[in-house]
Amino acid sequence: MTTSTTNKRLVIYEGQQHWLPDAIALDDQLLRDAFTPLCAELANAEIERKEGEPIRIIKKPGRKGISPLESLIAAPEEVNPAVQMCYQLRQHQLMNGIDWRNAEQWAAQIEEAIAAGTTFTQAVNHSLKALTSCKPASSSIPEGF
Amino acid sequence: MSLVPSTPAEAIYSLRQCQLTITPLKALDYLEVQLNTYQLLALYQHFFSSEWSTSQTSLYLPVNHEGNSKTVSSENCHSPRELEFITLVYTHLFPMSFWAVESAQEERLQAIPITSMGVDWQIEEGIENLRMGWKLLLPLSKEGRYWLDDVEPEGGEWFDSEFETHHVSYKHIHHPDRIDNKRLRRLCCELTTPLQFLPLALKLLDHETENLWLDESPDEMNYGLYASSLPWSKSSINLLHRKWKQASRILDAAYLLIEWLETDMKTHAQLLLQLWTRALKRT
Repeated sequence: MTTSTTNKRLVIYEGQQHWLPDAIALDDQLLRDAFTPLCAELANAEIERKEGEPIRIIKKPGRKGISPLESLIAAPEEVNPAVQMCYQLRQHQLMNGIDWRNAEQWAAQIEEAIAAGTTFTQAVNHSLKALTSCKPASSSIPEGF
Repeated sequence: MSLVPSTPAEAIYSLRQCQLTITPLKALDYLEVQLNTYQLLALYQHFFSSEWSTSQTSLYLPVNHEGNSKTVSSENCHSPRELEFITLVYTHLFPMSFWAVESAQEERLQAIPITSMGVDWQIEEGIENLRMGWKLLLPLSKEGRYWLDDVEPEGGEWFDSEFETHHVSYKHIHHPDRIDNKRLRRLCCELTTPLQFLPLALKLLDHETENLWLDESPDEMNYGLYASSLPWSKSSINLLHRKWKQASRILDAAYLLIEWLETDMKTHAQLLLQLWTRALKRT
């Protein structure tokens, strides 16, 4: 594979080939600056240079635990227990009215649902905060596209 | 068993259950109201089972609440049955302030209000409104002495003007720091007059009875309402009831002393001050 021509070098970023002038390609910072308009995160990208191989620009991964994707994956997938309990109670009371015979049991269940619902809301808010505070980032493009 | 609404109130209640609640915040608001309802109904059945079984009052809010545009959310009001329970509580178990009872008619009591039932002399105009017997005890209590010496300008002069006719002078009353409290208690135990309750009465003035009905002092924010609160639960009600019985005994004893002092202030004040002097620390 030809990696250089007269005054130009091959640079690969996310599988795509770019021919850049030596004046830029040979300087790490100039190379980063050239690619930053494509993706802001490339301002701190790693530059890999190997003899006989094209120059590769590697995006540094974000800090562990705060990436938006991780926050989304970690977010609970079930319905908020308070909303669930609210629906269940409304259904029950629609059919039975105020269920005073089981008042104590309902009180205990509602209390539990309030506690669980509050914790759930806090977890969702935490994920939302992480999402809104993160910097925009381009998605990765599979090689060949 | 399913509800066939037999009254408009029940029908409206059923219709209200058809509302869709999607947001967690609204769900939590709804659950808070339902929790309060079921807590009160469960406690009513537990503490007043015979009254419950004969009660005819409605579990549902009356219909006229719906038409009242001034009512922001009728669900935030107690039903007649819940109000009946609250009445039974303050009639049979422990007191609630007039303001707490009044506000229960308008909005839910989310927790049990604890009204200060002690001697609240530190509130505005509190000293002026005290009975003469309590006024006489002020320089003997730690808090009262501090108030008269350091907080209230010319506190001593005020005291002297109050007791001028009874020949009691502020400067002749020993500071409570000079009193041997153990000795005072022993001397009081030997007495048969209501003077034996002096240590108890001083604890009331100092808010040191270790009884939550007597030591709470309403702060400015809650003035007129209640000093603090406890959640609606069996254990809270049992505790408040037990503590109120104890508080009543303390208050009865202290007021025996106050009335005794007031029946013959001149003579009894002298007996009080003699006892006080006998309890001085020995150097």
